Amino acid sequence: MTETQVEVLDQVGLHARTAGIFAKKAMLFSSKITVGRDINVVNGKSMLSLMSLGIKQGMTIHIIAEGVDEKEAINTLSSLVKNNFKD
Amino acid sequence: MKIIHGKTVSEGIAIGKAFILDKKKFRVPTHLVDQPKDELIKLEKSIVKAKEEIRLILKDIQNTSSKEEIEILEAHEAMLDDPDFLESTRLCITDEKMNAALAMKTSAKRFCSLLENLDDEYLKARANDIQDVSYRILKYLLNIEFNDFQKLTHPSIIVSEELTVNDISGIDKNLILGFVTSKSGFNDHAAILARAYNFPLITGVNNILTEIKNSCEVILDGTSGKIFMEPDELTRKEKLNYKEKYSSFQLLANKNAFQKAKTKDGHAIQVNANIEGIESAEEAVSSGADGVGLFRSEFIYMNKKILPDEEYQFQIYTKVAEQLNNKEVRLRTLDIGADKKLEILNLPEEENPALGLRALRLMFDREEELLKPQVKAIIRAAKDHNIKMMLPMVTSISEIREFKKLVSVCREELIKNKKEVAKEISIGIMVEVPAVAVLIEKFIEEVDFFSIGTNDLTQYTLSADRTNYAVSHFNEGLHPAVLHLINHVIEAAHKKGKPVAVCGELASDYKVIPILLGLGIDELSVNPSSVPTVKEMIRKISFSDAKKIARKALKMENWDEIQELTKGTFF
Repeated sequence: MTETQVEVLDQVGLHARTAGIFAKKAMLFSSKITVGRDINVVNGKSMLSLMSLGIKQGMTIHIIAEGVDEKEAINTLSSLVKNNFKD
Repeated sequence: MKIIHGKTVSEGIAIGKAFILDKKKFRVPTHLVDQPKDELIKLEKSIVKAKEEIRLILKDIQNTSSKEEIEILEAHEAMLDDPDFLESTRLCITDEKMNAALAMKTSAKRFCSLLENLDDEYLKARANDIQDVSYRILKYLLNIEFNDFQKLTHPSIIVSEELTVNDISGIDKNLILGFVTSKSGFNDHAAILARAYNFPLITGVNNILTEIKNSCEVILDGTSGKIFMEPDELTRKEKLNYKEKYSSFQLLANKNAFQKAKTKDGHAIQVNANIEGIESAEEAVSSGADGVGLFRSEFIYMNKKILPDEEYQFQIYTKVAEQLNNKEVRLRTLDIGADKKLEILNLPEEENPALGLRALRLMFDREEELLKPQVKAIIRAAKDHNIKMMLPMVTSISEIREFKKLVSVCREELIKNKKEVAKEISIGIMVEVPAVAVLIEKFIEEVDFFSIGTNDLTQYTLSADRTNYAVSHFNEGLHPAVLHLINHVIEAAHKKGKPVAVCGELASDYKVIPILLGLGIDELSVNPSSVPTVKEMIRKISFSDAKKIARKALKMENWDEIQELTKGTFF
């Protein structure tokens, strides 16, 4: 299991567009990916579940990956968030 | 002729025949099934078809549609691939033995309520997108045609209880004149699209389908939020005329956005923008604003896990000032409290937050934590930039004196730490508390400029909570009592040569602008998007006429009488 914490900098937070980009990226990995905020943890490959976390600018999210490509997944996804969801 | 009152979500005016969109014609069967396998297959097939449909629309509109519409449809496409959404729908079939349509409806409902429970207006509005997507699938599952848009052959005003993205995307834009709905939120994607395409949208009409008859002639007037049914010839002519004027006015306003605003007889007014941070500062610049009349600094505190420190604030203020390229920036110190909450401060609940420990009062209460870091950041940023300080919710003169003392303390502390600071900083106040307006003469010596916050001044003068819908009629327009307070402030300030601005909603209200001008207002500060129109309005009247209107307005008893005076001034 690999995990990391990262602050969401995007102005609107994790909304439809940004959640969509995140989920799409997460789907490229075979590892199980979960995203958490406080006690809520959801499937990182689901745009709708990510939206249901209600993440706003400045909040920190927890990304956890479990599987063969977990390290790569964490690297890719955390830099995606850090770069404001730009590839 | 019948007149229906609604609420404008998208501005503009439309005249045409009503087209009723009755979407309640389908029912989702509620029976359970023994053969989940068949239902799963049906579901998969329908999803494939729905995806195909979205892909075709996207292909079709790629070059002709707005960026907003394309982004929304792409999000819908992504929802059809969402593993949790699909899994939850499948589980409704396999575990709960629902038929495919019922499973779709149930699963969509569950996801909708997840979003609807969030404390975020934008995400809440996304529940409608889930509905849209589920309808697209249900259409195939139930073999029905939802909206009979095929029957729409002439440009019409679309009347519907709800308006969805599916509805707008499914239609040739040349066949739409405007929309009337029962309920549309300002943040609905459908509302965003209506604005992007400049279609008027009026909402809040109850029993809409019985109120408005198919094919009857309708006029939508976005400026007043009124719907005229089967208008008489006079109204029709008047509105048609108005529509032409309105569109040419908009065109002209955008063309002249970067010109100064002067009345016909040469009286210049500064038109500033209200901003919330770096992004809206950009908008202010591109809208042609003369400066920033109100920088709502509380927005850089919102949604933060830790309080923004001096250094962080210094950087943001510097960036905003740089964007404005040496135009004036009036930075309002933190205005937290009442309807603007800040979770990290953990403030106690108050019975009457609008009358409680808010804005400047709170700053004094938390001097080390809030006041000092912000003041220090401002006087550092003002060293090389045209930044002025503006205090919200001032109630007494002693507060200003106390504040100035603290500014000196901050300056000394910074100098001791070898930081560069502005030698002088201009300090102005918001006039929001009636006490200040009444005693304005006493404040003049201590203050460099005044900005009247009409939203709060109105709620405090009329004792009507602006967040309480039940008393919202009190907060509508310009009440004579507020008008007299504004007049008093301007007269007193001008005697001592100090400028007065208005930065509330009234500053962009076309029914009020002639009166504010006539009273002698020096500056209007409005949302960036309104800057061009406000400037153009100023160009359309003469200062001498405005003075006459203002004098008459001061004699009126209520807002209805006041707005009669300015009717037809612009369009």
